[in-house]
Amino acid sequence: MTASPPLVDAVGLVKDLGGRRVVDDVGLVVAQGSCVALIGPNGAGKSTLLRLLVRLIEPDSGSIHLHGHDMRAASGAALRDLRRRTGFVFQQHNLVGRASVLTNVVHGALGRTGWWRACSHRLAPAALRDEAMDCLARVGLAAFAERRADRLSGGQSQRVAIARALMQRPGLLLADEPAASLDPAAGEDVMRAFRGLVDRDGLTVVFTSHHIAHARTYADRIVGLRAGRVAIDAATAACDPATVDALYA
Amino acid sequence: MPDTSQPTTAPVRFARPGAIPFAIGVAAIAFLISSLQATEVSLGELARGGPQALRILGEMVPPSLDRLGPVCVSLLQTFQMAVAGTAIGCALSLPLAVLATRHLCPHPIVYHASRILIAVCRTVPDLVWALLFVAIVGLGPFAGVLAIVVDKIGFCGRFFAEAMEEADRRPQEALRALGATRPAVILGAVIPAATPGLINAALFSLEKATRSSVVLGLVGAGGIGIELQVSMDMFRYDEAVTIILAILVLVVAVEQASAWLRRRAL
Repeated sequence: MTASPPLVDAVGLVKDLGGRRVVDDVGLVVAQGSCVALIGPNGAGKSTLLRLLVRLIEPDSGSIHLHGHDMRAASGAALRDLRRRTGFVFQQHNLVGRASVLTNVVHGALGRTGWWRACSHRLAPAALRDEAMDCLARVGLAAFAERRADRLSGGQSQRVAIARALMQRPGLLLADEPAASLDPAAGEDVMRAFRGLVDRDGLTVVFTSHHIAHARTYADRIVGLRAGRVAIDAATAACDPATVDALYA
Repeated sequence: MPDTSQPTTAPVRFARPGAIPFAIGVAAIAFLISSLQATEVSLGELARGGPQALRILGEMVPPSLDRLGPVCVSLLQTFQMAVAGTAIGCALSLPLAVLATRHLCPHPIVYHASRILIAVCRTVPDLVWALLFVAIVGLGPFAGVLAIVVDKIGFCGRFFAEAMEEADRRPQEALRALGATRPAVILGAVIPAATPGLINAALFSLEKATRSSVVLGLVGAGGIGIELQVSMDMFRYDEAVTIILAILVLVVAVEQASAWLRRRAL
């Protein structure tokens, strides 16, 4: 029996921004069905690394394979398809504020259907609308479908962003500090939702966080970055608290 | 201990200008004086025109309602010119504005070409466009509509593009990250975020088109302007004041309706 290939296989990633090396020879391998926490102080390169993986920022060098495909060689429809299979949840949620919650979730299908069908829930076919309602129900917000996205609380907004990512039918979910702008209770809710997606649905999740407790509670593995380099890469259970503390020293 | 490095006196009120700013200032004042002389600006002439003004005002009262029917028809045609020209102009401006938005345009050459086209449409006055279109399609409201369309492309093209430039980039990044195509990002994230700016520009351009469609009639491009010109040429000031009041009612009504729509939509 052969093990399934890693969903993320990045090697030697380098990125300079504003004359500073933000990501310096970073490698990241993520096995299918696992939950990985990226931790590190501000400016360590966590968010940049996530953006490099889906090429929202182009790397200066290194290789990236997502879902077994060479991300750097992909362009046009192939690149869009790899992005479609990789959900991305942003720290600021990045919803379309003036659109309804349901439209924001329907947007998750833009990568796999015609743009005229998924730009608004009003134009979407019934199957897409039903699927979007299912995604909203999975994050407990089906009752908010018609509300404008800019009228939601921070926690609700983040859960809509997760529902939009689920609408992509992704195998991999990247989340950039998903709990950073939320109060502690809402942050725990969101992190529990991510863990549930791993345990219940078999999704692979990579999230960045400043909350060491979140990393310890919800991740199987912790990768610590410092000054753009990998300083820690260990199973959560084997991760020494002193080593983690040293990351922020 | 007091800080001796700090100044103890207030700075001078006016700094002595350098030679070049001084020369530019003198030249500007000289040009202003020559402009007043060349254009024969004269308070004396204005005062001498006083009795004539009073005579015309006297002839304006009471306003004549003899031609109220044809005036209302012309007024309706004027507003219809404004509505048709604004609608077509806005519809054409939208795709052009996308191409004139740096981060949405697929190629720098297309971006600069779009910007130049918008600038040309905006820079040439609508009255000049009207003269041109009267020569091309003949007298009548169609020439006026065409002039308004081109003027709106210049106006809305610029403000639509600005609204799209200023639209929140984060939802756009989110849609790119989930595999959306460029048209999908524009329709799904850019247009909704820019909607307040688009509505504002469109409504303001309708107000502007209503005012300018009155003037376009003076060069034969249809609407109520021609009625006003005929009344003035025939010294029928009582008819002219009726037309002016009708124009005032139309412009104020459009402005009020536009303000109401703006409040509802934004």
